[in-house]
Amino acid sequence: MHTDPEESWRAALETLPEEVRRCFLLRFGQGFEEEEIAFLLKIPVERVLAHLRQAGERLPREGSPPLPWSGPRGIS
Amino acid sequence: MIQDRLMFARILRQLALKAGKVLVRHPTPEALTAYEAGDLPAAEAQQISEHFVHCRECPELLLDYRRFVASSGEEGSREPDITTAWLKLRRRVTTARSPGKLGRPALWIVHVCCLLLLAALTGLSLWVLSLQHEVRRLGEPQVNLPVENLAAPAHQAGWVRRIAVPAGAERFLLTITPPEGPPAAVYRLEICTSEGRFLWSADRLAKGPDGSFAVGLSRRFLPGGEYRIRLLGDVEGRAALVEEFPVLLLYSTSKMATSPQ
Repeated sequence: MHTDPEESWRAALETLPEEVRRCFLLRFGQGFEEEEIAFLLKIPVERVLAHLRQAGERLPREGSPPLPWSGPRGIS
Repeated sequence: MIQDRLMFARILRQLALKAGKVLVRHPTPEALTAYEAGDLPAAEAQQISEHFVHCRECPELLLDYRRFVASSGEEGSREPDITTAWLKLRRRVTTARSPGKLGRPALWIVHVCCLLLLAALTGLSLWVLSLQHEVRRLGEPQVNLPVENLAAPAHQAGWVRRIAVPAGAERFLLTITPPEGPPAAVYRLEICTSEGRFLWSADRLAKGPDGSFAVGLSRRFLPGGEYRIRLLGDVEGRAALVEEFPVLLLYSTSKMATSPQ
């Protein structure tokens, strides 16, 4: 069990499937829109949204950025 | 929010190091083109996808390319050719960064600056040479140096001592004889314009053996005109006016026999 939020986030990200992790990091690490991520990763937008939803379910809530299903999107 | 981004950046770096599968170098435009077209093998495409997670420039470039292709398609009303579009984009970027268009005015300015600097250096050299010549000339002996003696005037209103300096005499000598009276410990000599504007002074002067002061002056230092030469004496620690000599300097311009060779 990780007590450090950063450590727990890293550990949780490592458990995500590659494509899910890429979608999440491109959205919240790089700030790209879902449609742009779909273009960059050559996958449909619906799949990007599903990946982000999946990442939101599996990642810790503590220290989380505003996720698409929990309020305004994007990182300012 | 900023803290979140910083944290993500740290995590990204650590993950990239741990995974060891991030492209160290950016993919070439050709590789990006092939990736965009779906022509890359799966392993290479995965590497580029992973690179996008850790690099800001490459995904931005690919998105720019997409926007460019979209705008070209709208303008041309035909399906844009990917390679041609890439070449156009690269040419546009190269042209924007090329030193040619920006370089020419900059080079022109450099040339002008160099010419101005050269002209300034030439002018400065000529000025130094003329100064050297002037210093050498002033250092040369001068025969028949005009000597004028200023004695205490008769205190008449409007009295002015006229001093005529002949042509060819750059310098002349003024001897100043103070009036009779109690001697001061030291004297001060001042030269002012007729309007009272201070020009020059010498402090802590003592009388010469003949009881006068001698001052060498040049026509460059005192051009023709009216001046006031003041002699002040130090009496009990205070400067007191001993005598004031109004003088009118007249320089002759016609050549005379007294001119040095």
